[in-house]
Amino acid sequence: MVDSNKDQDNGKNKHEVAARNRWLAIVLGLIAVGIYVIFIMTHVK
Amino acid sequence: MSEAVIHSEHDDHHDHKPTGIGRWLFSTNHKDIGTMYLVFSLIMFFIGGAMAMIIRLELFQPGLQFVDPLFFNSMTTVHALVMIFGAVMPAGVGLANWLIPMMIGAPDMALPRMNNMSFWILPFAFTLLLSTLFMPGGAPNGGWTMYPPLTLQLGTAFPFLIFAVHFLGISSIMGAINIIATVFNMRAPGMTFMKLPLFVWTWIITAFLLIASLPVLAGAVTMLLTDKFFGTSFFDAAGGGDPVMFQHIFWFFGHPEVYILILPAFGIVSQIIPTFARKPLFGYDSMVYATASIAFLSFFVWAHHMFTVGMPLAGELFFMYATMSIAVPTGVKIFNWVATMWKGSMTFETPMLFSIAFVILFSIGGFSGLMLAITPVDFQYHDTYFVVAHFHYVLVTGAVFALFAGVYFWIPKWTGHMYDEKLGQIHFWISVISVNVLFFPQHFLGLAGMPRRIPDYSLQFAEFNMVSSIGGFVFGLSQLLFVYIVIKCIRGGTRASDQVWEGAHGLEWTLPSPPPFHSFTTPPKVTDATAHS
Repeated sequence: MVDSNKDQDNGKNKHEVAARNRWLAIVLGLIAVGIYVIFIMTHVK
Repeated sequence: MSEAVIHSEHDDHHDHKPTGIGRWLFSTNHKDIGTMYLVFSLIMFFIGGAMAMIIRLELFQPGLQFVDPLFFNSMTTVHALVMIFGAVMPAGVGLANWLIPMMIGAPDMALPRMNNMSFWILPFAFTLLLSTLFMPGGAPNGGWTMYPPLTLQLGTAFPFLIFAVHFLGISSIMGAINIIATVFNMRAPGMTFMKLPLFVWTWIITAFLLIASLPVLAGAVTMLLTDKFFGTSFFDAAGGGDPVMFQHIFWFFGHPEVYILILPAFGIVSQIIPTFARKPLFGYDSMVYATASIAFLSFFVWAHHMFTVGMPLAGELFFMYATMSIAVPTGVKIFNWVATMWKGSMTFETPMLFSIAFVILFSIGGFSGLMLAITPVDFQYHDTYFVVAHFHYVLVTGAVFALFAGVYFWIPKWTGHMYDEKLGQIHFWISVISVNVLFFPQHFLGLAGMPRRIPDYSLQFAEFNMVSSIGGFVFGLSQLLFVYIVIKCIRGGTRASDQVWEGAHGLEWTLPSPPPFHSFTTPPKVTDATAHS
C-alpha cells in the first residue's frame, strides 16, 4: 500500500478518501446483509 | 477524435516487493491479488474441465461405460459449481483487480485488506466443496441448482455444500464492495464516469448485481440448511412449505448471476475490438446504458427457467416478453461491436480472433436463448440438451472466449513479454473448431428429445454424442496449449512496449510493461479527450 499520509494530487486527503471508502463499504455491506435477513424473514410464517 | 493527453508520474524508482510466501498470503497489492485470482481460476478450470471430460467420456457411447450413475450426477453438479463460482467468476475478479486501478489511475483497490480476505476465502470454500468427493455418499449430485427435496436427501456432503456456497457468496460480495468503492472514490482527476473504460463500467454494474442477488442465494441456502437440520419447513410441502418457492428464490439470484458472468466479458470485448479495429468504440454511451438495462431487466425474468412448473398464463406471458426484451439492449451491444469494426483498419491478432468469435458464437447462444424464452417452445426444450447447448454457447464461447481474449490482450502488459502469436493463433483455431464440434450437435440432441443430466441414453442419440465427445476431448486438451503459452510468456519472450498494441488507448497503457509494483501513487491527470477512445 502507498503512504496513507500522502496527499493526493487531486486535492483529496488520503485519510478522507480512506474514510469514504470505509463508509461506502459499511453501507453496501449493510444493504447485502439487509437483503439476506429480510428475504429470510419474509418467508417465515 | 481528439487525442487523449495523459500526464502520469510513475512511481517505479523504488519498486519494493515483499518476498517469499508472505508476499502472497498477506498481499494487499491489487496486481498480486489479481494474479492469485487468475491462477486460482485456471486451476479450477482444469478441475472443472476434468469433470467435463468424465461426463463426455461416459456419454461417448450409449450404455453405462465407466462411472456409477450417482457419480455421474456428482460430476454434472460439481462441474457447474466449480466452473461458475471457481473459474469464470474469479477470472473476472482477477482481471478487475489487475486492471481497474490501472484504468482509473488509482494506486490500488479501495480496501486492500478486504481484497486479500475475499481472495483467500475462495481456496477455503473450494476445499470444503471438493472434499465432498471423498466422503461417504459422494459429492453433491442433485444439480448445481440445489432444488429441494432432492438436495435435502444428500448425506454428509450437504452442510459442506451449503457452507461452501455461503463462503463463495461472502467472498464475491466483499469483492463487489471493493470494486464499487474503488471506482466511486479512487478515480484520477478528470476521469469522469462517462470517460471510464467500458470494462470498468461493466464491472461497476456487475458489482451492484452481485450485492443485490447473492444475499438472495445465501438466504435460499440458509433456509435449505434449517429445513434439513433445524426442523423448519420453508420448502417442505408436508410442513406447509413449498418446494417451488425455492426455484423462484434460486432463479431470482440465478438469472442475474448469468449476467454477472457475461457482463465483464462484454467489457473485455469492448476494450479489444476498438484496439484492433483502430477506431473508437461505436456508441459508447449506448453501450453503458445497454449494460445497465440488461442488468436491470435481469431481475424480472427469472421464471423463464421454470415455465414447466406450471404458472398462470399471465405469468408465462410476462416472463416470456420480459425475457425477449433483453434481446434489445444485447442487440445494441452486438451492433455496436460490428459498427466499431466497420471500415476499421483491422488486424487479427489472437485477442481480436477470440473477440470476433465471441461476437458470432455468443449471438448463437443468444438466439437459442430467445427460442427458449418462448413459453410453449420451452415446454418442449426444457431439461433437454438444447438447454445445455444454449448455456454453453453463452458461457464457453461467450464468457470463456472473452477471458482468453482478455488474457492474450493484457498479458504483455502484465509480464512485459509478448506471447507467442503463432501458438496463440493455433490455440484459437483448435479451440474454435473443437468447441463447435462439442456443443453444436447438442442442439440436435436436445431437439430430438435427449434429456440432460443422464449417464445413459437411447440409441438414436449415439452418433451426435460421439461427435460431441470427440470435440470435447480436443477442446479440453487444447487448453494445455494455452497454459504452455502463458508459462512461456511469463518466462520470457520479445519485450513488450508500454503501449503494447498500436491501437491501444487508456491509462493502463501509459504504464511500463510490466507495470511497477505500486503504480499511480501520484494520480495521473486525465485532461482533454477521453481515456477510452
